[in-house]
Amino acid sequence: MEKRIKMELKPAEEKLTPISMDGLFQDFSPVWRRTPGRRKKFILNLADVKFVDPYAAVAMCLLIEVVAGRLKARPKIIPPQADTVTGYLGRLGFWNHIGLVADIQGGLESANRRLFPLDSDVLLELTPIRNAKDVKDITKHLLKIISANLEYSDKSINKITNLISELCQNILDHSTAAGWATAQRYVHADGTRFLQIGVADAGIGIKESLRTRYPRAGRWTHQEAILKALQKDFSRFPKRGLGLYMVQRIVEDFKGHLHLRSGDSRVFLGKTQRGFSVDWFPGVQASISLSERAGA
Amino acid sequence: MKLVKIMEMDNKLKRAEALAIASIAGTEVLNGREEGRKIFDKIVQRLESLSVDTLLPISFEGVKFLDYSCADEIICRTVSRIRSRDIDSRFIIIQDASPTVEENILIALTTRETCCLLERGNKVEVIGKISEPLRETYTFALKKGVVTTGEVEKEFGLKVSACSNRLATLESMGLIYKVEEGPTGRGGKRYLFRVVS
Repeated sequence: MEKRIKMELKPAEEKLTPISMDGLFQDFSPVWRRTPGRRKKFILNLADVKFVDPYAAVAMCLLIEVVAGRLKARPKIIPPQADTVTGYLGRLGFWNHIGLVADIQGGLESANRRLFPLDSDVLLELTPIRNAKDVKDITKHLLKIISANLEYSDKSINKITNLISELCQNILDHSTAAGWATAQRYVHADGTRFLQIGVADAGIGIKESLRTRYPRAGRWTHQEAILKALQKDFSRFPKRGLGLYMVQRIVEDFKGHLHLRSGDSRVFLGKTQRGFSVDWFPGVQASISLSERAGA
Repeated sequence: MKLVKIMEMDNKLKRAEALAIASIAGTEVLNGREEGRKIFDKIVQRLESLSVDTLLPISFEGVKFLDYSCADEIICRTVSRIRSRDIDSRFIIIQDASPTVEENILIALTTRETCCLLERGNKVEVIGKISEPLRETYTFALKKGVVTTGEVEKEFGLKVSACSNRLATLESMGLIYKVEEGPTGRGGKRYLFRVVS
């Protein structure tokens, strides 16, 4: 009889952000290390989650897809008890997407029907990035939505659209796997507004991508590879390497933050630059936060 | 000895029909290197089909968005190809770019430390990265329309060799072109430099 091993992941924190998601990836790593092909019952328990940022939304999409592919059994997802969070995820399209590969406790329709905040400001729903058309559709959508709904200058709209276009294109150019993107606008209690963007894939990652052109990249750490990828002209393809370099410049213009995770490292760029060792996960996951006042 | 002027009175570049980028791409939104590369290939094909001393306007009319990578492929690669003399004596000028498209082209050019001509209305200017000495020489040439090394020497108080270098560099950048005026009478040749427009 085939052995079934129950495995439940439950985030340690109520708020899912780039930092707290490190914990979830850490809990996930034993799953990744297990022999693929054996059927396992996997549960992602989000019952106590009270906040999900765009990065966490795309990262969870990836995680669930990777689990489903690895364990050859449909994972089970327990939605958040908080209607606002479940409803927000529904508004993002999260339940519709993961419902294709996972079972949602209570059913997909039930998750989608729950209330969500009326002032929710989803700029870009969870969108798969599989081909050039997806990137073009995302760009067209953003140009329309940002111009109509946000108080950015044309210059800022241009920069933000460039940033997302470059990040999504990176997935197609370098990842060898499909990815996800989403964007959300937030308003602090003091009225300051900011934009958060999550883009992620579960492909070959930055270090492996650079190794095709720089064989010595095999000796770099993942953190070194991430930092090199942020430099101008550093790319697996000669005479290229503008994408992540421009992403970093735009984040600086907006006095924002960038988390870039690949392999076993996460690099944070903001007022300071810091590197963190994290548990390994395939691909690249990026979180960008931009202040709405800066960047003009 | 009389200076024989063999230059034609109206020795200007031929101006080809503009290449419409939105039409080639079939879309108003341009993303990424692959799309940029296809457009670059079309531009090169078109340039190679033109006779020497031809200016090809590259029109961005109808292009709503062009990301940096695509701008890099389309414009920076074309500029690089022209400067490497692979496509000799053909020139390009950007036209009909919206402010945001122009800005992204500017960023791509500046990041690659190169420059290109841009037409705005009936004015021509250089966008991208160009050193101050070269920019001032170009501005002088633009004002005059046609210049000689001697005129540059007189204007800026520089040595002849420095003036020749500046003009040669502007020529290699596709911003001006050389027209032979005739022999100097001392065994050399005299050249005029005309602004690309």
